[in-house]
Amino acid sequence: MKMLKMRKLEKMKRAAMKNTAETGKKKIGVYIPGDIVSEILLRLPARSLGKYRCVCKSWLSITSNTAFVRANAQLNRITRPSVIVGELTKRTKLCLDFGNANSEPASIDLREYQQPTKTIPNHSYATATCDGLVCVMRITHGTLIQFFVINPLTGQSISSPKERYHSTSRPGFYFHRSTSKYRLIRVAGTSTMGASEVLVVGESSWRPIPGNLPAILNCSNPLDLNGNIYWLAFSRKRSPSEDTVVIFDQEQEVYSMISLPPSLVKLADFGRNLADFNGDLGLLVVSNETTIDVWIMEENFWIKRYSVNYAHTHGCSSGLESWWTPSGVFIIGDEELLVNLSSSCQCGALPSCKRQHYLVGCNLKSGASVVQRMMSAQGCLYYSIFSYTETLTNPE
Amino acid sequence: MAAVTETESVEKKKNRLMNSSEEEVAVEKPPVINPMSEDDSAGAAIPVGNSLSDQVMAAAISETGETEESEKKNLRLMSSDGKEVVVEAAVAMKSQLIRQMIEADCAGGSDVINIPNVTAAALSLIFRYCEKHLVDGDGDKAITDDLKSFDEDFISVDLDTLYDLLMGSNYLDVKGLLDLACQKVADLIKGKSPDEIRRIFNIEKDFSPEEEEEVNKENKWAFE
Repeated sequence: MKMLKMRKLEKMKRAAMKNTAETGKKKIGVYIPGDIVSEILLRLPARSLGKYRCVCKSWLSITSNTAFVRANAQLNRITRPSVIVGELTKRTKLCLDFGNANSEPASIDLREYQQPTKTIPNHSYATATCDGLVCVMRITHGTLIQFFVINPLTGQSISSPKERYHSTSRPGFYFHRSTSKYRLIRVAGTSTMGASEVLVVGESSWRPIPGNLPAILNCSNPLDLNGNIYWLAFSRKRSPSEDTVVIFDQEQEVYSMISLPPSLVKLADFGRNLADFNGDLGLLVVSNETTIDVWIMEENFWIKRYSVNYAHTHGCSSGLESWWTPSGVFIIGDEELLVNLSSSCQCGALPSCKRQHYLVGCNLKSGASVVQRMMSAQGCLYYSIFSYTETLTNPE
Repeated sequence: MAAVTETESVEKKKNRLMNSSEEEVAVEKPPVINPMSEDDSAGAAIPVGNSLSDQVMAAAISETGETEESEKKNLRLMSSDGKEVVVEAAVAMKSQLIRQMIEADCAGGSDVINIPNVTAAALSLIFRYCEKHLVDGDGDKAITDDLKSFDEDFISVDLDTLYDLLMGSNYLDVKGLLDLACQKVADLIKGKSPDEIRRIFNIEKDFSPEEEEEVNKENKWAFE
């Protein structure tokens, strides 16, 4: 049956092609209307679009349109996912590309990112990404702090004014839909009553957000998802039963909280982090040295969806290992997971017993996993990974 | 050594149309008998009319097995090159344009619908796509994999035919095929230079030398 159909289809195709040959003229390029051109260009990677801006005025206009750029960024994020690794060292090194699309993550391919334009300032490190823009933070002289929002591909960059450094959480980075502007939000972590403030990228001062923030003393990396910013909030004593998820509504600018899975709060685990699991809120919990649990929030309930085992060892047999908070999580599609973990063992017997950074890549459906140690540069203190795709987004 | 345990079922279960994609001939549906209802509630009776619109709607409804009648209705279309193309109503209605024309009864009483922008050969190809995609593969991996490999093979045509499919699916408003064709064109042009792009799309460069220099300067990064 199937063979018959295939032959029939081939016959049809041949008829169609013969038909165009018979008319004697080359039909392609007679005229493709602008909205179809737009649909075609939408599916191209940002570098190609940059090249094609000079084709004609119409194509320049299409590829510079803000709505087009944003739609292209969202599509590329899904079809060409990759990560940036930002390390806190004297130089910021960005790496790109995770694994392959097959079900066996045989290796994690980290490469030095060849930036077309050298826009990342020295002594800075990446704190968040959004739509192909990277927010980096730079501390100078130990006392001054400044943020830059950069598109590493196109070289466009906007900086915030320098201000006196005070301890805050890493800023959340998001696109504010009703004003079509990118914004940063940060939480002041040391006061008894939490205070937060928002900066519109391109403006010169932070605007405080009035009240309603619970007394949170330490927030994890912020997650931008579904028009909200999510933090895991840790209490002063780090007692797991007091941890919650704090939610900031980007449009309404109000806060709310939800609790973690009830079974979780009783356990003492090594660390947790939030992640975007295909549009749903996900929670990663490192429950012991070899297991990561993945929880997904479905219709207001936490469901433990996966439990991943991975093999690792740093060769020391002291048994004093401890695995820390997964400080970066990246999920591709609904199958592949990339987690950034650091571990240290207290015994100090081997050089590798000092703090190490690992990337763990797993395929959630097949169970295959790979662990790769990250080679840290001299004096590297801190890694994180962020979702990043090359886009045309203009920070302004 | 690794193991993943899935503790919750991920798959959503949805209803699927019962038609197997292998069958050449449509299955006759048995009449739906509802002994409980006495009145003309939905599904128990269909409007009996003689217009093309009514007959086609009846045939389309019968595809989902909701009515008592089960005749297959064919549509006749007149292509741009003067040939008549006959196609099953349910297949043709994948084109939103044709669907709207039928629902609004635009056929003007006659049985032939004019499609002045699409050749007969392209129409046949487009409807072959529609026929294959009548079955919604939601959630069933075997069906979606089968559709995916069909699509890959289907869209592997020369540029001129691809152009016909592109314009035809846009005119007839067959979204799935339009997406497929746009993606294929995008894949084909991805590595090309701006000059090659202009050749393929028959575009004239309309920048002045100064404007061109400015655009190139701003987008120098793309050529690194």
